[in-house]
Amino acid sequence: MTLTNDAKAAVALTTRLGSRQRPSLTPKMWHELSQTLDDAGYGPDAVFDQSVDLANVTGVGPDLVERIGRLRTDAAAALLEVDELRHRGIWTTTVFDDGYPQLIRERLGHNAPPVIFGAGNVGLLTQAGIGIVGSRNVSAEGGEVAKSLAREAVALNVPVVSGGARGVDDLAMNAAFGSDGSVVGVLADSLIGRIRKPDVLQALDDGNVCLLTQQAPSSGFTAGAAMSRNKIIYGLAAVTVVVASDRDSGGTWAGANEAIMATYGPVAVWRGEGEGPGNQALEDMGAARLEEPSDLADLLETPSPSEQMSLEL
Amino acid sequence: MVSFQDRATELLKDLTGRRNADWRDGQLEAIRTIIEDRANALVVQRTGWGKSAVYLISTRLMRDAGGGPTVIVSPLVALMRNQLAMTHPLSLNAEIVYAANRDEWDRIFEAIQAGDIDLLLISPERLNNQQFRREVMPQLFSNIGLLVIDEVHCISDWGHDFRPDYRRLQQVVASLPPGVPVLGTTATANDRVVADVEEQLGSDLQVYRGTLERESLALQVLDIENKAERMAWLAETIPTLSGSGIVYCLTIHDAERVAEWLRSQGVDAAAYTGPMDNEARLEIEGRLTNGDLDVVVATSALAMGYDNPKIEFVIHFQTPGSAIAYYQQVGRAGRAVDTSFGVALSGWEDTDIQDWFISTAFPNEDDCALVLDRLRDSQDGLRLADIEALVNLRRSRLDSMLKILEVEGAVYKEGSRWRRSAERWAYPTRRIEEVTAARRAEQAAMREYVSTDACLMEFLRRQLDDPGAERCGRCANCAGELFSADVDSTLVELALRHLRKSSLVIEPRKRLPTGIEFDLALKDHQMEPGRCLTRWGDPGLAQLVATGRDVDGRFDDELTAATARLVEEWAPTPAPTWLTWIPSRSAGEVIEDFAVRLADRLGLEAVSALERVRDSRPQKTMQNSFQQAQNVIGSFVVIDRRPGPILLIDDVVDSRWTLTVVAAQLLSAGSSPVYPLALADTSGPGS
Repeated sequence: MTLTNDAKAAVALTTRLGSRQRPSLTPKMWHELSQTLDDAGYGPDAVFDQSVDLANVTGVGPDLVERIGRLRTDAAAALLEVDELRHRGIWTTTVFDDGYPQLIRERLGHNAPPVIFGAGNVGLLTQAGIGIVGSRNVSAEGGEVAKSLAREAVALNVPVVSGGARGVDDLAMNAAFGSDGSVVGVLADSLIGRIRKPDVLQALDDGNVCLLTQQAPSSGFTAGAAMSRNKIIYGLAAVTVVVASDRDSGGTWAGANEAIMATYGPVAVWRGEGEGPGNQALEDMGAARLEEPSDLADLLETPSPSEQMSLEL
Repeated sequence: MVSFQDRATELLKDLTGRRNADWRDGQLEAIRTIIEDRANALVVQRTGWGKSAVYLISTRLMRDAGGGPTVIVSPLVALMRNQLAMTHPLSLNAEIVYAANRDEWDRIFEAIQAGDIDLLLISPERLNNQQFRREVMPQLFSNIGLLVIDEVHCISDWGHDFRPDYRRLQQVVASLPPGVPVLGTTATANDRVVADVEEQLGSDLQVYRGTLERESLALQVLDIENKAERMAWLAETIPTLSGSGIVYCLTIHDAERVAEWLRSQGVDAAAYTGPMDNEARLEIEGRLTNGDLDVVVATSALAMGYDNPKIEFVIHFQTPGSAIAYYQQVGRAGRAVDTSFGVALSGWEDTDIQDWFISTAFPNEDDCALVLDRLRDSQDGLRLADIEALVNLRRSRLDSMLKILEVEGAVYKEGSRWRRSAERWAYPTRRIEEVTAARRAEQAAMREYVSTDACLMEFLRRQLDDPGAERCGRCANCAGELFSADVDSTLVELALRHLRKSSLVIEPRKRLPTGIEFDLALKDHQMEPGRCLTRWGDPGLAQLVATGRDVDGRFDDELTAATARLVEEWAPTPAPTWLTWIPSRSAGEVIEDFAVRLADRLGLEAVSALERVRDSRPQKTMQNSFQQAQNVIGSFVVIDRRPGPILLIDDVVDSRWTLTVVAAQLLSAGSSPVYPLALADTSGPGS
């Protein structure tokens, strides 16, 4: 895996690698910048070219030009950290690379993270999985639902896509492992810390897990990171089932709302024992209703974008 | 305005100090590639061609144009010092960062930050150093102007000089900000290595490759199987040669022994080996350069780093396992002299020693799997000492295994702890087989060199894929014998005697490996330095030890006589008053019988003082300190003793743990001091 110059530009401008304190560009800012560069006949790597007058070429304001200038100066540190991460077995993929998950590129558009870090079996990203999300403090019944859904996913021979947090995420992932299934874990914090754990290393060794994050792999949890993480889960799943959500508050609620509004991916909501106070409202907003874990297969009948793609191929 | 070419030529004149200096074919073009095209270049040219002119002049041009500094990665400190000295004529502000000048790092790092450094020399190990990576590289790489990888063939594991730390360079190159040119230089790369370098540094590499001919070097091969005869030949021939030269040996022990022998014959000779400290090596290099030494007897440790154009002869006491390695070493001769000689003496032991190097080049699959599993299962990673307790591998082999697993991406280090990486990893069986097969082919080619009737220089140049290879007209095969293989029989006899008496010192082990339990403190119960008669696998007495132990079941009287002589010459004080032996597991009475006869000769009392109470495994099969110490503790008890100084006898010594531990028990029982004595040292190659 060698980064192209465009990929290096994405790493330099949109990540917090290299112990950066300063804000980098958001995915949206990045995509807009590369669009304007493209319109002017330049590639994204033009940001490294001192002879290109960014203000003139792209029309972006002086603040942003200055910010890009500072990020460019730090590029070496960020790129060295990519090497550091690779050393630990963590890969870096950018929107310019073939290895970047196609579903994310298609569904998230300008909100797709320009750079994704990960570890483990990238093959698991080429098929849409079953997203299972819900609150950390799930009820016992809700936990059972999460586990049943995970086992359904295994029976359907697709990976469980989840957040790698406590509660619903953990229960669903462990249930999938317990039935020899595979898991895509989208993390909101420290990928570096996660790959130190013996059970995670074992799963990585067995090849049935892929861990992803758009955060710098050494950074800790933030609410913003959790929201970005949710986008990726919805983006990677043929359908994402919300097991239990609060109403008008919490990450699960906000993530599901955003996914429905922005159509990141099909959303279903559990209706039955163990559901949360927000589940009804999500259904009202357009999420599909799921009453039996075994009905999960029915939700998959509409071809997912990746299936459409493979049909076209 | 001064043209690019005029300015570069002006710098070349400054650099060489000659107003009439002119470009070598390819030099200016390589500089153009770097400066004007900002593209990557690979320069494959013989030593002395002027590879340094390419990057020194490029650096000056770049700095004058406001560009960032050059970073040179170089494998040896000696090489870096030479390179540093060459920067003065161009007024380049250059610094070296290496392990030994740690106290200067802060000053250098500040100078880098301030932009005052034009050229920084570092070893590849720096690039793997966590502190350097964190504190220096981000700043350094943020405006680096040029990255130079010297001896770039070390990057290829097809090559004879592969260094795991170089492998990391591929990733460092990949991490460079766009637009930074990379220059690789080497004197020894065949097509396969060039292809490998291209693959690792990027395909847009512009290759500048020149002739490997050395017009003043005459080659010859002499087949003198016997070691003592070869030693005699050296003692007879070297005094007849003008100027100074290098004798290459394959093992450290041979280098030391041959140097000693030559000194005993009135030749100004010094040994030069890897384990010697840096200062000692520099001193020897200096003496050789100044002509204070006739000859340096070296292992391959004196290879890329030493730059002395006045070397007039290079003689191989044993031949290396590849023609490329041979060319690299013999090419030390004949650079700035009119005539020089390269003589390969081919001995019976060459193939065995080469085989040993080939077969131990890679860690074994089971060991790798075991270490990876344990690292995976550990909560907090493992320290080196923890891993040593898990695997039966000697420390140096374990170090090299971890380094290989690290560059392979299977493990990484956090502080002092090793951890399993997230990368799935399978033992690269196929690749190892391929590389091993390639090494076997190189070995076969070297054997062919030893026996060929064809032009020797042409043969070597073909091995290096030099397209201009042609008959040299100077070598023994072209122009007739340069040296006779005849040797003086009196000298052979002397050499044989020298081989017999060059005994080895047994140093006490001082510290138990972490985690080993032993109720005696070694520092309070330490044996004296002892003696060992021979090195296992050597001709002469060592062969008598082997047949005595494994065939005859009795050590020959010649061994008792030689051992008695050794003790007399050694004369430890206070003199031993009695002796005992380590009861052998398998060899039964052989050692006891020997000890009793030796006691008789030395006039000492022989006492059966030790009993084996546990049937431990042979120490020879225990590969590291932890396993060896573990294996011996609790295996013997002291059943009898005398109070006085004691000679403690064993047939072979390997790790020294048996002698160290048993001596501690005897000392604790009240016999003091304890002098260890063994017949053969089985550590290292040849055993």
